Amino acid sequence: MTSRTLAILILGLIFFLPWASYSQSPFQAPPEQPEEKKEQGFNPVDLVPGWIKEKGQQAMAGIMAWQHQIRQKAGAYARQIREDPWGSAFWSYLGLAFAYGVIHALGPGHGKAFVGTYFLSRKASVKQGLMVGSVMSFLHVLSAIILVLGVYFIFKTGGMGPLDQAEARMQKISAGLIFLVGLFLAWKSGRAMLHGGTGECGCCSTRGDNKSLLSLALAVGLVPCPGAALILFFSITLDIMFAGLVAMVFLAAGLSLVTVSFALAALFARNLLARATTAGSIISPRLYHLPAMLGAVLISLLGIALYFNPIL
Amino acid sequence: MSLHVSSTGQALAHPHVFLETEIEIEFNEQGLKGVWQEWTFDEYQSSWIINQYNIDQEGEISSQELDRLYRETFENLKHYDFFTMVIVGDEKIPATEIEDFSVKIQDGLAIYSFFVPFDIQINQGKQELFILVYDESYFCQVFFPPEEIGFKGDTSSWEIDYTTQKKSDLTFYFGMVTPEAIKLSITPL
Repeated sequence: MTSRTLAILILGLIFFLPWASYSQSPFQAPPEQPEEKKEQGFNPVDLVPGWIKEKGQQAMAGIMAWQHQIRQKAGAYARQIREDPWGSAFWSYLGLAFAYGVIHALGPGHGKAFVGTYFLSRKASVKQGLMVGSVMSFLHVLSAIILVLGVYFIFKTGGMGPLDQAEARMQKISAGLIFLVGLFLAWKSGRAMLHGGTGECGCCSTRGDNKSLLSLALAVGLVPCPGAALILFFSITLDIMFAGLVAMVFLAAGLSLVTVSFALAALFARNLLARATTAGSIISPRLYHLPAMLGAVLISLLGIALYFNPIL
Repeated sequence: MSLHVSSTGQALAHPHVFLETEIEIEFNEQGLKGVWQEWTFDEYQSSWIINQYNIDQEGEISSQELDRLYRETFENLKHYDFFTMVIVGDEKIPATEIEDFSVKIQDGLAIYSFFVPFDIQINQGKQELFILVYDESYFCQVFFPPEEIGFKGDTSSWEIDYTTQKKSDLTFYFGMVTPEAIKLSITPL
C-alpha cells in the first residue's frame, strides 16, 4: 500500500465514519445517550487518594483560569491585529502562541510519556532525541492545521463539534499505531535477546534506530494538537488567518522545547544508570536487552491506555 | 454515589468554551421562584456568535436572527438541563425550561440572559438549598458561583443566608473537576 492510499484511508476514517460515540457541543447537538445517566457503584477514579485528587483539581482549576486569561489576551491582540496586521500585537500574538505551546505541552498528552519511555529504555544519540521531539511536535501541529483547514473549507462550519470529533477519532487511530510500534519494538528486542550478545549487529540491535524512532514520532504526532487546532480555528474566526498560521510555527516550537527536553532528560538519565550498573559487573547478554523489551511493552500498554482514556 | 458514566466519549482539550456567570435568585411568597442568569462567553465563542448571527456593533440583533440563535445555540441545552440544577435535601431538581431569553454584546463579548423557573415551595422552618451551574460534558468551563449573588422578588418574606460549597459527590471529568454550589439557608420571617 502506498503512503498516499494510506493517507486517503485515514482521512476517510476521520471524516466519514459515523461518529456516534464522540462528544459534541451541548449548544448544538443532543447528547449521545441521553437516557444513560445511570448510577454506578465503582469508578476507577475512586481508587486515587483524596489528597491527590484535591491537588489535581486545584491544578486543573488554576490551568482553567489561566487558559481563560490567555484567551482574553489573545482575543484583544487579535482585534488589534485586524486593525494593524504588522503592529506590536502581531508579535505579542506569536509570543503568546510560543508560551501557550510550552505550557500546553506540560499538560497531558503530547508524547512526553512515549519519548520518556523510549529514551529510558534504549541507547540513542542526542541528535535522535532532538529529531524525534521536534518531528513529533511539528507533526502534532501540522495535523491540527490540516484538520482545521479541512473542517473549515470542506464543511464550512463554525462550530467546534466536527473538530472535536475528528480529534477524538485521530486519537484512537494514533493509539492503535502506537500499540503496533510498541509491538514491533518488542519483537525486535525479543529477537535480540534470543540472538544473545550485546553486539550491535544490524539484524537485532536494540539501539534506537531512526526508522523505529520516526514510526513512533509519526504514530504519536498524528493526533492533531488540540491547543493548536483551537488557536488556529479561532484565529480564522477572528479573521486573522495569516497571523494564526504563523502562530502555529511558534506554538510548535514551544511544544518541541518541552518534548525535546523530556527526550534528552530520559536519554541522560539512561546513560547515567547504564554507567552505574554496568561498571565492573558482568551482565548476562540476554538481560542486556531487557530494558529495551520492557520499554517496548510499556509503549504498547500506553497505546492501549490512550485508546481508552483520552486525557492520558 | 451518583456519578454519571460518560465513558470515553469525552474528547481532548476540553473545555472549548469558557463562560462567566451572573446570578440573581428570585423569591416569591411560596419560596424559590427561580434564577436569573447571565452567561458571558469568552472572546472566541463571542466573536463566533457575533459573526454567525449578524449582531451589529451596538449589539442589535434582528428578531429573526435571535430566533435562529436561540434555536441553534441554546435550545439544545434542554438536553443538558441548561447546565442548571437545584438540590433540596437528597432531591436533585434539574432545570427543564427557560424563559425570557435575550442576547446582548458588551465590550465585544456576547452575553445570554434568561430566567430558569423552579417554583420550589418552602414550608419548613428552615430550608437548605443548593444551586449549581456546570457542564458535566465539560465542553464548557463554567465559572460559577460568581463573586456577587443577587436576590430579587419577595425577599422580605424570608431570611436568606448564603455561602458556597464544593459538591464532591458531583465530581466529573475523570475526577478532575468538582462543581461549586451556592448554598442557601432560607427561613420564613
